Amino acid sequence: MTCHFQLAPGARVTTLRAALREIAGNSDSTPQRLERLYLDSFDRRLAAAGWVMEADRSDAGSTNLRLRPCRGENDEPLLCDPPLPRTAGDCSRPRLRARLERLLEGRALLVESIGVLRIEAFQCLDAHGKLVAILRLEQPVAAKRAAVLRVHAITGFEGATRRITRQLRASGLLRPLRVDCAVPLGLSPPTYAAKPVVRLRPGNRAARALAHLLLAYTATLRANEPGILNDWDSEFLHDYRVALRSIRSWLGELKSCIEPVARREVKASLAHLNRMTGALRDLDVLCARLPDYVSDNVGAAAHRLAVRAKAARADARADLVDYLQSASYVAAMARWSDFLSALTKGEHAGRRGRERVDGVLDRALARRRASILAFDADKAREDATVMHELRKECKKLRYLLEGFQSLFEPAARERAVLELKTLQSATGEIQDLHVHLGLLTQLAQTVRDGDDEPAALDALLQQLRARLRTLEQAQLARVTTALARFGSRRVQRIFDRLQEKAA
Amino acid sequence: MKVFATYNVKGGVGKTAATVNLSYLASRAGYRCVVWDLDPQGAAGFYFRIEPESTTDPAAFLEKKRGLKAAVRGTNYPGLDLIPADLGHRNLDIALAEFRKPGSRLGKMLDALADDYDLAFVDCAPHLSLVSENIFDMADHLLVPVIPTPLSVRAYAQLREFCGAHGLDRDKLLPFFSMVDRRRQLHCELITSFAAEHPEVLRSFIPYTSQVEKMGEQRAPVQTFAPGSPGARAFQALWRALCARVGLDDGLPAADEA
Repeated sequence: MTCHFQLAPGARVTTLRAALREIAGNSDSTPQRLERLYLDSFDRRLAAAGWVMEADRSDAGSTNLRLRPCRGENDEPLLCDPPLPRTAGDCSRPRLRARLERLLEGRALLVESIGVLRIEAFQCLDAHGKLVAILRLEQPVAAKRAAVLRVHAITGFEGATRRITRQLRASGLLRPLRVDCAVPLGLSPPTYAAKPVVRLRPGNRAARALAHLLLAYTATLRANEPGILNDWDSEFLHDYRVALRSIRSWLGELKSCIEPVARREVKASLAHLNRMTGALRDLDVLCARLPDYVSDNVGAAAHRLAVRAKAARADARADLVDYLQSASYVAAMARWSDFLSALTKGEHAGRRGRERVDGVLDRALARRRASILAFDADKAREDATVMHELRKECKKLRYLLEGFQSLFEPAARERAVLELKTLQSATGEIQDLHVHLGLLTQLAQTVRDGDDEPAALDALLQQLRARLRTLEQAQLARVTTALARFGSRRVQRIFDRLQEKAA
Repeated sequence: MKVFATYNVKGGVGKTAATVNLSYLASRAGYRCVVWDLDPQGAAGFYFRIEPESTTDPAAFLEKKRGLKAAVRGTNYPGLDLIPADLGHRNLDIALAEFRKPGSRLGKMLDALADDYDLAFVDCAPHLSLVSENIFDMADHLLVPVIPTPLSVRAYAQLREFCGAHGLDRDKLLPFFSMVDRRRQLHCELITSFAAEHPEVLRSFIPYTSQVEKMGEQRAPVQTFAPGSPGARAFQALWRALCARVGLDDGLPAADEA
């Protein structure tokens, strides 16, 4: 059990130190200096879930890594040998690994903040001289006012520690730590969001509202560039592509708000970027899923195919990194930025650009709804192109709901997105399976050249085809059900309500 | 989790002192350690300044799946916890007999702590009983302190015989000499003859010193209040010998650095 406190307004550290000496009776003679690192994923998943991961490095070189709740009372302390974990899989403790896997969902741990702390430890002993609690006063060297007191109970002496914390609270010098414990070291609250919320008003002019949305998503897109370039984890590219696809989708959905020539120019360069990033993303997903696809076959052929997939991924990544560091990317981003700033000032506005955004949005929503409802489930099952079109329509509708979310009634919007997610995930799965089958066939061809055992590879490919077809059948059934559900009166009423409110 | 039990059918041979000091050294070496005081006298708890638990029903204690976790108490030393003795557990044998597999019950209870600790040290009471069977079952190694006297050596021989008769793994037995007075000829002779007869004996012994006796007064491991004393050095040497035997890193500075 650990309780965290911060100084009460007006309280001084010297007064607190004297009070702690009185309560504890003694303190470690020499305050310790250590370097503290806070770790979290780029999108601050640990902080969002209420957890803090901190690593203390002492001058002696030992590292103590902890995952603990921001405000809670239970620690999960562990000693770790450097280097610090980069992914959940790097943690040797099974329980910690499982918890991190759940919290991080594949994202890498990055060092978010580093600070130097001065630590004083006060030991609370009972009448038998038994240590019952340790009080640790932590002061960032750079900001002494931001002192934090941590009260650690010795296992089995929680009752005695609670009495001490009551005494401390009664002193009026402390108050429970109500903020993320990382804040005293200068770690700002999470600001990054893969899908930022842009506050719009129904009466905003459509072109300007769209410009603000595009600006926010461009910031998200660019924030993910370092992660892609350094290959910290594959989610950077995922977030980058979500932002990119959303931008492209809105440019199409609200095309009447933008002057056609300017729109065509920027769309062309964004399409190129989409193709460049798509190749790596497909291989990222394939590499992640390949072990499941070949789970029944652990032979040499499966191994060779996996190695080839990884090599292809490395090639695709190198191509993308080259492109992102090229002058043409810099120029394309500069043009995009100029376009956005002009759009914000009211330039490049199309024929509907000066209309109210809610009206334009309403028409776009109605159009997408109608096109999804027009799909025939049987046709989609038979024709992969139709299925792909259905998926694109679903995405376009979902991006509208997510990007312009501040214009909708939250509960109805959430329900509508949830309904769309089911349909979209099933169609998306089918699309992935098609892409993967194509990629695996290509990769197998390259492995076969110079392969000693082509028969084994052919057998594996046949097995993979059968497996992917089975998976596809399961998803096709999901699409039929989801499409029927989407067309139901109940779901359509949700969308009616959504559009009424938006209008 | 590796389990060491300090065991001897004979009392007063230095089992608890060995448990306390070795577990302390293990925790200093970076291992997460727990000491389970199975001796109702509660001497290990006394050394760590933790009072024994009030009497609880042993049957209820054995039934609880998380019984041990709830009983864990932190000591004054980081990485070293204690499960204190409970006077109610003097009848543990009777309660154990009620179980379908009485010989492995305590081991199963200790398994609940496997994720939390690297090493467990079990301080046993001096008797041969159902509890002893549990100790043989759960321990990876039985540390047997032997005083270099005929009675103590005989007790070790009896223990080996008992293991043989009950199909228990004799390789688990790791005897070491305790309370050695090298001024006595009998001690020296017995140590030599015993080592020749029992190659499994750890090549390090604990001398009879006043510092080890002072543990009861200081209520702490000897390393904490007399780190350079012969007693403290002897326990370090014993820890080093034990680690070398069982393949653990002792975490001590190399002999030439020390």
